[in-house]
Amino acid sequence: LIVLSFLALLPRICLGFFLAHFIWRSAEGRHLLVKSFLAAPLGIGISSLAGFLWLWAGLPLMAYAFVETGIAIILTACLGWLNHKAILEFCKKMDLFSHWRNIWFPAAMAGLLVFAAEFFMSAWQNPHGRVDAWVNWNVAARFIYAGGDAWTNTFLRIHGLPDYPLLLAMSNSITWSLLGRESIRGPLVLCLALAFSTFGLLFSYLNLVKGRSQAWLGLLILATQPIVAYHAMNQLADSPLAAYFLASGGLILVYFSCEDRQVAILSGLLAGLSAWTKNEGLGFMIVSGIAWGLIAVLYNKSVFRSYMTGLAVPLLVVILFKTFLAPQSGLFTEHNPVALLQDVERYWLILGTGMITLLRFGNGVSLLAVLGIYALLVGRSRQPAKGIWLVMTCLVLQVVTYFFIYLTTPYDLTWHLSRSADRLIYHLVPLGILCLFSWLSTPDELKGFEQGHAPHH
Amino acid sequence: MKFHKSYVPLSLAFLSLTLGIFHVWKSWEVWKEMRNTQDPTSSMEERISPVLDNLPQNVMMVGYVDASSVPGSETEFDQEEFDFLQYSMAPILLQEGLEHPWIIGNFGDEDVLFEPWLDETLGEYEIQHFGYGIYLIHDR
Repeated sequence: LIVLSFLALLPRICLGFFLAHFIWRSAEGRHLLVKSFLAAPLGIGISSLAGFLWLWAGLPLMAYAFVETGIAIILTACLGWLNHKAILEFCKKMDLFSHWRNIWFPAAMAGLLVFAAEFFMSAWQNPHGRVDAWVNWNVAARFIYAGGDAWTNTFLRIHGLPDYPLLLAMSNSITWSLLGRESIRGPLVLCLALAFSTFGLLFSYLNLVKGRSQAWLGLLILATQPIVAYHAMNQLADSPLAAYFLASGGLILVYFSCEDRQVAILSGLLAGLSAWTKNEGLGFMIVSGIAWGLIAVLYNKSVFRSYMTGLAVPLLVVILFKTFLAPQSGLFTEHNPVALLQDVERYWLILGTGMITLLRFGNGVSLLAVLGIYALLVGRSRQPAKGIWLVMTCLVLQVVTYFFIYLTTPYDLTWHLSRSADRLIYHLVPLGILCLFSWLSTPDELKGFEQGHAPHH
Repeated sequence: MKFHKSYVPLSLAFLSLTLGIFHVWKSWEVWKEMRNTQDPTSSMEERISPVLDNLPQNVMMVGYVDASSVPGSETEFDQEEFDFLQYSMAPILLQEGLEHPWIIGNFGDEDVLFEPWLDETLGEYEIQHFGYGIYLIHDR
């Protein structure tokens, strides 16, 4: 069923690639690699948006799943046939075996094996994911898949977070519709696919802006963090959300590398999809919009319009969902946020817990400390990627957003922090690693090779 | 100095891999101990399966009571148990109380005298026991 679940997901991934390629036409090898790894978050996200609208219109989800899969298969076959020469050429250029000569490739593969071992052992012990997976995410998928006309009963659930958006729930329901049964492997494979997209995106972005050895190193660091496997197998929305943050935020670096404003459309689309994944994405949508707004003011006015064009569709669906279907969020229940803002102790508690959580983050040794020492030792690259400060702005503003959410939370603050602080930090880790490794010297630079900005081919 | 610097990324990679492998080994130790025990969610799915078989197919909402609902009981409402049951029964919606014709009673192993309370509150009803303190109540 793991293989079947993956096969059920594959047409959506193909659709995602076509959409990325349709928006951003570049056929350059490194750009195609970026688009290959944008395919899963983009395809899964768009499919869940369309599936949701279809279901809301009162049409059967089963029909949607098969129509979408049929379209994807026909499109893949047609475009594959039309471009078969270019595809063969691209595969030849990739020349996977040549990578083994570069020590970073086997090292990164070992890192991915570490991730896979950790993931499958945890998944074996918790096939339904962890608590929030069945209190919030997979339970909503069960209502949608098997609820018929009563699928909206999911919003009447008295516990959990029934106001949360439906990207995961819709995607899992579509997978189950194709499989013809409620398999626990469906949500697992979805999370695994998005986790691998996160690794692929980190690699392909770094490969584009800093070259291959830095890309393998960044991938290795992320893959060997046990918390990455832990969050992926949890089947919660945090791992997919981190993938969307990385996908959307990383495209800022891509824009500066190719100056194609179509990239901003993709960034807007992915930021919108992050808001369709989890409420925290609503904050990122604004934060990322600020970054693109700054690019518009400082470099190219038209990019902000492109960003908003991409954002429009998912944003519209999120607004419709929040206005007409979702119950009010627990965060906006009747309470006095002004009184909470005046409580100085809350500031210290949030800062203290945040710092401790950040310092403890890592695989037994603090990731922050290790990367801090590493940065001091290797230093800044002679040619850091352009636009890093804008990605950094996104990260800082998102942290500030989280800070204010905690500050005004109606829940018990200690409880709220203990339940979510590590997850919120995790959302920003892949994008943070991208930012740092785009700025630091690469292994090739340190070796003294005159590599410069161009990647090592 | 440059020579030393070129070894720093390799050292970082070595450290990350070593710590990662060490963590996998620790997870393996846990996995060996746990591999024969069923996870609580799957256990609940097995426990609730006969209840679902006995519910009419068109029922999409059911009531839910546990030991805490019984007057005089000092037990607190077990939210985790409720969430387990909601997940296992979805897309059937569980709603606390006795307002629906079909009700899940989850009285656990506790020695709670719930039947006099049901007699008094519901009047005529049927009750089936499925083990583990789980009951299906049909309020006529």
